[in-house]
Amino acid sequence: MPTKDNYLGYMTADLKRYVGEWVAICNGKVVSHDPSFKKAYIEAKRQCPAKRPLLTRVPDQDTMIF
Amino acid sequence: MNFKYKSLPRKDGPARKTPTIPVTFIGPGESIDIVAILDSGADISVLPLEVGEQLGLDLTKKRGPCGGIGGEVDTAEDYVRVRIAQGHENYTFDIPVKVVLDLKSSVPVLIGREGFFEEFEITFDERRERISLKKVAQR
Repeated sequence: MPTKDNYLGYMTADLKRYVGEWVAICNGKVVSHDPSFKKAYIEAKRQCPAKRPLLTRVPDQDTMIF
Repeated sequence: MNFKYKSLPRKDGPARKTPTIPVTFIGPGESIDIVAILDSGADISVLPLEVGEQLGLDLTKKRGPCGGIGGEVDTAEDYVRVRIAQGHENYTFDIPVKVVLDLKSSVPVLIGREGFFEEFEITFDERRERISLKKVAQR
C-alpha cells in the first residue's frame, strides 16, 4: 500500500509545474515526471529500486472525466 | 478512513480542490500505488492504457466505445484488485475497470461507483474538504 511518506509528499507537493504530466513520488519527494506514465514509473523505479513509488496524473484542461 | 481534498492545478485556470485517494492497484503483472480521483459521477472506474498495460490487464475483453464528458473513446473492460488502507484499516477487493485504449487520451485514474461505492459509506464533505470512507458490512 502507499507509504505514509509518499502520501504526505503528494499532499504537500506543489504540482503546478507538472500540469498534464504523471508525477512519481518516492521517499516523500517528486523523483520523476513525464507525460508518459511508463517513463515516469520506470524512472522512479530506477531511482528508488527497493521502494514503491506513488504515482499521480496532474490534470490539464483536456482531462476527460467520465 | 478520511482523506483530505488535494488542490490540483489546471492549465490556464485556477487550482481546484479535488477528492483523491491513494489506492494500490494489483494486477496479474504488477501492483502499483496510484493516487486516483474518487468520482461519484462515474458509473465505473477508468484507467489510462499505459496503466492497464503495466498492471498486465487483459485488454481484449469487452471492447467497445464509452462516453463521458469530453467525448467518446474505445475501451476494454477487465477486473483489477484494489487495496485501500489507512491506519489499522486495510481493505482489498476486486472492481471492474474500463481501460481507455487511446494512448493520446488524457484520462486520469478514476475510481467510479461500480464495485467500489458499495463497499463503503462515502461522504464528500466539501466544507471541510475531505472524503470519509466508512466500510459497510457485507450482506
